[in-house]
Amino acid sequence: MMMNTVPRWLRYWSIATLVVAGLVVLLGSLITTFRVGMSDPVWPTEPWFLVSNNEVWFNEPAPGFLIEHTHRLVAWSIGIFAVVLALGAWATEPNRRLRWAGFAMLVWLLLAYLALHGEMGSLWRARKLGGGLAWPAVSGFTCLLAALGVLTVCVLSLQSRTAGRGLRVLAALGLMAVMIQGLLGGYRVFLDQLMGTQLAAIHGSFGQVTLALLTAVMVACAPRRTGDALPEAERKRLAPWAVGFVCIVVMQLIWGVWVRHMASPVAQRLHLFTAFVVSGTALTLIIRILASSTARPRYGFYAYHLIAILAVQVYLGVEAYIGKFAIVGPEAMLPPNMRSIDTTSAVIRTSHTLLGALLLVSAVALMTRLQRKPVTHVELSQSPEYPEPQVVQASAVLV
Amino acid sequence: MRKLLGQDYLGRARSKRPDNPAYQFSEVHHQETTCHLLPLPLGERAGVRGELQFTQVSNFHELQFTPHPNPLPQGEREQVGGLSKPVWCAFLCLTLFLAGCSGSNVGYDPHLRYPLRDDVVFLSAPQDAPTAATPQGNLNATLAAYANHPGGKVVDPRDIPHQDREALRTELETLFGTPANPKLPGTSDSELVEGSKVYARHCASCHSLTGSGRGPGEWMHPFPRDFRAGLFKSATSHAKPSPTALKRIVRHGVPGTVMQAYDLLSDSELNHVVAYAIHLSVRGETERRLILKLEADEIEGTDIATESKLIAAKIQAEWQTAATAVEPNITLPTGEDAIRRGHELFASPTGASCISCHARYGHDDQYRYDGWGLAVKLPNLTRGEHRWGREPAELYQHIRYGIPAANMPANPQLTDAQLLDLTAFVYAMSRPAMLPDDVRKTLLSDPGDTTP
Repeated sequence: MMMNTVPRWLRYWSIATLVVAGLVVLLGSLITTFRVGMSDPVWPTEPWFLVSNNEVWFNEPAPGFLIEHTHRLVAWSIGIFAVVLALGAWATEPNRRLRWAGFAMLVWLLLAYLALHGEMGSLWRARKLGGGLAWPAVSGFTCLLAALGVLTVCVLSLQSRTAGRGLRVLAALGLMAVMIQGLLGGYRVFLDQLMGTQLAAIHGSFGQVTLALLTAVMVACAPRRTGDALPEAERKRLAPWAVGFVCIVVMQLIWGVWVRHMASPVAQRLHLFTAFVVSGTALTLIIRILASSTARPRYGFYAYHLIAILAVQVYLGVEAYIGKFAIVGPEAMLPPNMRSIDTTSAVIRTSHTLLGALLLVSAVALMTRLQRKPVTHVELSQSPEYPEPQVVQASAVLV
Repeated sequence: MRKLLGQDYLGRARSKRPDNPAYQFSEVHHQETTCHLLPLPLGERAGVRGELQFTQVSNFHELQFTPHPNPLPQGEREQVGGLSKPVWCAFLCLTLFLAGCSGSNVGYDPHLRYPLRDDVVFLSAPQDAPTAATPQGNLNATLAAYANHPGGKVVDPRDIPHQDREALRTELETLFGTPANPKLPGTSDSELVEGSKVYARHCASCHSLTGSGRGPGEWMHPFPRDFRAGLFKSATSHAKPSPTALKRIVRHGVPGTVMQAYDLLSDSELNHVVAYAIHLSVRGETERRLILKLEADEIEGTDIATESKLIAAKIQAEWQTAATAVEPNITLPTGEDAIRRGHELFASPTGASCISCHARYGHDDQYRYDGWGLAVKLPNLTRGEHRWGREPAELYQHIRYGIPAANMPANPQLTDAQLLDLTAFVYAMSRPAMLPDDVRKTLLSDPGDTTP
């Protein structure tokens, strides 16, 4: 029996959003691998800059420039995806007033964000060398107010306890995360001379949080079925491990980002140490799922999936570590983040990063599904696809 | 609410329904005398013990069967639920605390040493003109391959005997210190140390530890500057650019390249980082010359100590001379006649003959080898692609003294008046409104380019 409060197109849209987000992560990872984040020190540029500017296309054949601007282009498109996703999610709000309030707040946020971008561009173009930085105070403050408005309707939606409230809140948060991530990416270029690669590391770390939120949105879009949730006791037994696993994976990814951007000795040690913690937590969670007679049928796929990702990820991690830190020859005399990069090591490092993001996606999907409570009859009856259930005599069961 | 504890409930149910052995007991809807049993997709094992609960929901009874973990060790639930939150919180706090320890503003590790040069030393480019820019990503292999072409000449430092290389390393370290504690005669150590920190933070990711321009930055276009050749494209009347010119490049950046403007750095930071860049250049050029001498057997390992001091002193004298250079204070002639005269000088074979290289004013994609052995595209002057100075005084110096690092010749034969006319024309090339109609038509006559 299925409960489906989300339109089918929105489900497919959420999957497409996550796929495009994965592409952004891949391109961002390539940028970090080849250290070409500053291959175009100008920001903001138009999203279609790479396509429309023939002169750039033909005269700047450097891979770094192309990767950077492709990243900007796809990152812009993820913004479009997230906007449609958030509006589509709020269209499912049964409460009419709340629905329109949600639409209004999202549109306000979007307009304020566009104004912020516009003001940033004008300030950048009007800026004189050595003239200090001017901040878009008005549009920035408006953006902040709009974000508070969105959060308010999210709280109201949660209090209304209508079906699909989680999806709406997650979609709104996902949109805000995408917006913040876009600003961080821009300021990473804009403020490079003040903050160096530190802001790039923050941009990379927050990208993982954004990816996690979009994953949760995708799972929340999936239709509910009777029997897709664990019993209460089993959920309480497994859910903390799933939440902990996600936290540890996020931490591990942050250390990975720090290693890649700064090769800091502290981050190197923490990344190695946390790798053991991640593996241990993952194995514990997997064993608990597979050993459980109720969890295994529902989440066995996730368990096997995690095993596969973890096995390949550990292998890639070892290879990436050896390629970056355990080398010999003249390059060994250089700090790790200044060594030259060949194609093989670039592929290994990028794959390691991408698989780390995939591990996070899987962990978040598992955590979100594990957190589900059983569908109640009242919720089922709200679904238009609610059929009459199979009936057997109680005496056949209740002996 | 009723509770059935500790009963083999599922086993009994199965015995009643042999055709459908698996049931989902977590969501069973009970209404009066009937209940709805929903089959599990993959089946359920018999013998599960658990808890059965009836809950009133609207006019239904929701019946929930909660199986106990099989078996559930004693105290495990408390362990999972009770200790997990503090553990996660402690872990989170620890990691956030440690995150603050990975700052990058402290400069280089004091134990770090400058590595000895390992990539080939470029001497001369192949005779054949290049047809494309040097590809990114494998610069050392590209330069090493010049040895296989007529006219191409490179020297591989790895051919030098090991003991000579070690002597070279020791002597360079004695003269120039380490990345964290650099030294250069005539420059204060504290200034270099501060410059080293700024360089490590902002410059090393492209220009690398030794100023080689290698490393990750070589995937960018154009290649980051290699300071070790002692060559720069800044406008100068001397062998080296003045520190003021270098500071201007750092502050303003190089438009059209990945070299961004660092105008938010303080004046002292800029002075320090320029001093450190000069330190890297002197060190790299000294190393380069010593490698060439060792390779040519002009000196032996025992001569390195003496020779390195002589070479370093000579290079440093060039920098000191350049520091005294005075930038010309010129005023461009106004009027269309001056631009026409400049155009004639540009295009005429008997004048400056700039057009012999800048064919069709740079509309064509033409490539030349520069002083680092890189094949680079000549700029399209009608688009204002003056990377190394677009102000009249800088253009004036470029035309007068040439750009040796780009193999652009000097023009000592031109009089001052001719030079000003030519500068006025070059300055106006990317500003169509300043050009006379006839000159503008000539510049835009390229069929493939209509937008200057």
